[in-house]
Amino acid sequence: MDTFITWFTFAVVYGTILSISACGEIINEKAGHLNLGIPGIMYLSGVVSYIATKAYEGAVEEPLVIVIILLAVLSSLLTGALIGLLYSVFAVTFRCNQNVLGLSIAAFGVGFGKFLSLVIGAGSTTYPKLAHANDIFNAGLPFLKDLGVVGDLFFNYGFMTYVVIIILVVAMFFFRRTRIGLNLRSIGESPATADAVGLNVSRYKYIATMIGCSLAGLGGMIYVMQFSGASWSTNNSIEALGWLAVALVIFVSWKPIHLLWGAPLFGFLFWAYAYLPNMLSINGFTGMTQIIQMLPYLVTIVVLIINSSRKKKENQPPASLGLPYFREER
Amino acid sequence: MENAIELIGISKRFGKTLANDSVNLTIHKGEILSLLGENGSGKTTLMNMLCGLYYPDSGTIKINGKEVTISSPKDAFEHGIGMVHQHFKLIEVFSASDNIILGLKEEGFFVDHRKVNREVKEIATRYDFEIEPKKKVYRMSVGEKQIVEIIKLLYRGVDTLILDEPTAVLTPQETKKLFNVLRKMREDGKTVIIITHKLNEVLELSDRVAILRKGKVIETIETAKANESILTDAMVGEHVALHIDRDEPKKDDEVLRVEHLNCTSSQGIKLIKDANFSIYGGEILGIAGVSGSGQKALLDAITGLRHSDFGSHITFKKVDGEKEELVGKTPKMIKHLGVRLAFVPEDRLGMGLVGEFGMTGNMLLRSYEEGHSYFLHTKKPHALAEQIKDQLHVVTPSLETPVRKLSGGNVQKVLVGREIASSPRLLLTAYATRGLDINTSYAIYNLLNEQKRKGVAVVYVGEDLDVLLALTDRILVLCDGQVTGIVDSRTTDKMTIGRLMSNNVEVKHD
Repeated sequence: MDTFITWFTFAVVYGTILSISACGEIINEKAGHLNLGIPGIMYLSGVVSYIATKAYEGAVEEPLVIVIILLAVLSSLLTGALIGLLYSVFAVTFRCNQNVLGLSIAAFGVGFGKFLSLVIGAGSTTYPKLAHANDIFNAGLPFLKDLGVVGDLFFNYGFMTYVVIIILVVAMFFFRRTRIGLNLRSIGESPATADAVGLNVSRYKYIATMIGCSLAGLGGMIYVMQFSGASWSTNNSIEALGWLAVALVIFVSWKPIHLLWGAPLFGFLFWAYAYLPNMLSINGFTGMTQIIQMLPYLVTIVVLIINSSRKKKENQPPASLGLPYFREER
Repeated sequence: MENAIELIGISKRFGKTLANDSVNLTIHKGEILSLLGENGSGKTTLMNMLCGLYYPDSGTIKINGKEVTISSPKDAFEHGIGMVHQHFKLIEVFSASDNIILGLKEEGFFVDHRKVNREVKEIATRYDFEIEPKKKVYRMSVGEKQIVEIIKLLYRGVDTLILDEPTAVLTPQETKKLFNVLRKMREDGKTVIIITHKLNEVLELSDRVAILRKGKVIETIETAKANESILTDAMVGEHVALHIDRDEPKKDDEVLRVEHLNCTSSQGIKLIKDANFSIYGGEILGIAGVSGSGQKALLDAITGLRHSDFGSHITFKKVDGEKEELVGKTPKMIKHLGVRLAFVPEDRLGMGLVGEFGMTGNMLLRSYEEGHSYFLHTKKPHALAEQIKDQLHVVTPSLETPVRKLSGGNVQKVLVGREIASSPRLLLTAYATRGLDINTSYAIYNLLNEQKRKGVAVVYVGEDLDVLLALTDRILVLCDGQVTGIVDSRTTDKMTIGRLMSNNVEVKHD
């Protein structure tokens, strides 16, 4: 039972990171941007939030909780938004090929992130734990977390897990019920139509991409502060989660609310190698880690096949995904 | 009558072509105005400037007497002008009502679906539309989509509606309904402009008609004082009776026999329903029908691009009399059987030619399998390209200029030239003169006639009935995938064909 609880909590924490990043990618894709730069954005935002928080904790005798939270959250959001801006300049204004652009941002983010780590701690691969930040981001909900097994399973996570759940619900309402959400969806489906009814296609694309990328940045921050316990290591696997988040978007067929179960499921499958053999008392799994970690991708492929054979257009990617928009084309 | 909109000296240029040449046009409040003109006469461009998609190079637009600037569709909506484009601008995965409210700011942050659905229903009742507000657009027929487009404009409080070729894709019943709706709008005080090239619609529906030719408004006539011949004369300029040479066909050499041909789409829709006909060497067989009646499926089935259902037979007789079954074979297999078949598809730069290649590269597409070395043989294709350029007067800077940079007429000459050069026994053409000017069209007709004289079986899928009647020897009419008749072009008339195109009246096969 204890093994299961540990496995479950790992799945939820991973789910938190995956779902906020995937939610960011969904917003990108709804604006017609196939942003493959998510891994890079997560990596760079993670390291930036670590550096910002570390600087503050080092500079002040008694760090304030609120300042640590704001620094970590805002620095990651801002990093994401800036990369989103960069992406939009190339994808919207210069109409570059989005695949190439996304992949270069993925490479740039990881590379630049590693460079920044070098700057702050020359030569080493692991960096000290930030004690205050770790306490703040892994506190669990007061009182509720002491409810025995239930508390351990559902209420013993850092507050960002619950913030992310709220963001997902808000995102669902945003797309389903609000006018701006409807307008944004139309941009990804058919920018020409959106243009014809008077929507500013470029502005929607810029803003949605910046918001989407900043959410992905938040995912990187959660990895560092919550999952890694406010420590940094250049050997960590943020990028791997970035690619998983992109696959997850397909898995939930572009519906943020399905991330609530889809993302923890991915986390569950990802961590299966560490706990499943133990729970079933099977030995000899040692060499299979990577193969089992493939499960989320396999599931995604299966979902992709099922979705495309069902021919329900609602489950298909936005129709203009990845295509640049020109107005006066004859 | 009050003037709703005045266009004064409007010009618009695209590259070298002057699409609109200082156009003056006045539109009255509460009238139905037709813009009549041939393809490429500048009707759509003019209206696109009124609805904010294009911006005029010069000239002024006045609305209710005041000079205005319309630089975006939004501006146009603010002046009460909206347009239903030929290619609908709808989001396929949205419901009707989501499409209708798309982009509106006035109604607050949250969408009140119930209120919108109610209001859409109200508009529908007022003008006799039938609409399901919650139905997704991709599940709708073309007629339903058009209704969504119109309601979208009405919902925005548009009082001047522009419709671009609204009946091109409708069945006769749907057209009748649409006209009733438009009349109701006129009674309601709305101004309606329809762009069309169908004379009967102009006469039936509109109060006035403005005739465009080569980017200019030639004249504006009150419909009550007009008739078909007045309109035609104004539209085409000097009276152009179609004088296409036509020899008597030979009818002894049956090149292709189609028996019990059935085609089904991947969605399970019947595209061709039990077609039976023959094509003879030395004749031109026209194929007529409302667009989407199965023309494409028929040609694709013959060329091996589409699977035919079990039990279908397409038999090709080669020069030596040997017969080959084409059903179940790919285009490559058909070619290797020695079946000399040439195809000028509808989508010239998509299916026919590679836009990025020059003329030589495009010639190569038919001969890439020749030779044994690993390198391409470009000498022969180059010579062929040279020959086509000279004989068909293709205007191109060089043989290596990407063909997508050529004008539509020249692109078509390259394609037809290449296909004819393969000395086919069966030549299939789809909308071979669509979008081409009169001279190029005639050049193409002459090429087809030349092939006919050589004993080639020519198929001409067309949309202009006048051309079909003047060019072809027999006309096969398709309606909803069914061959509703095969008539003799010399003895039949437009009425008969029109009737065959719209319903399933059986006419005696020749």
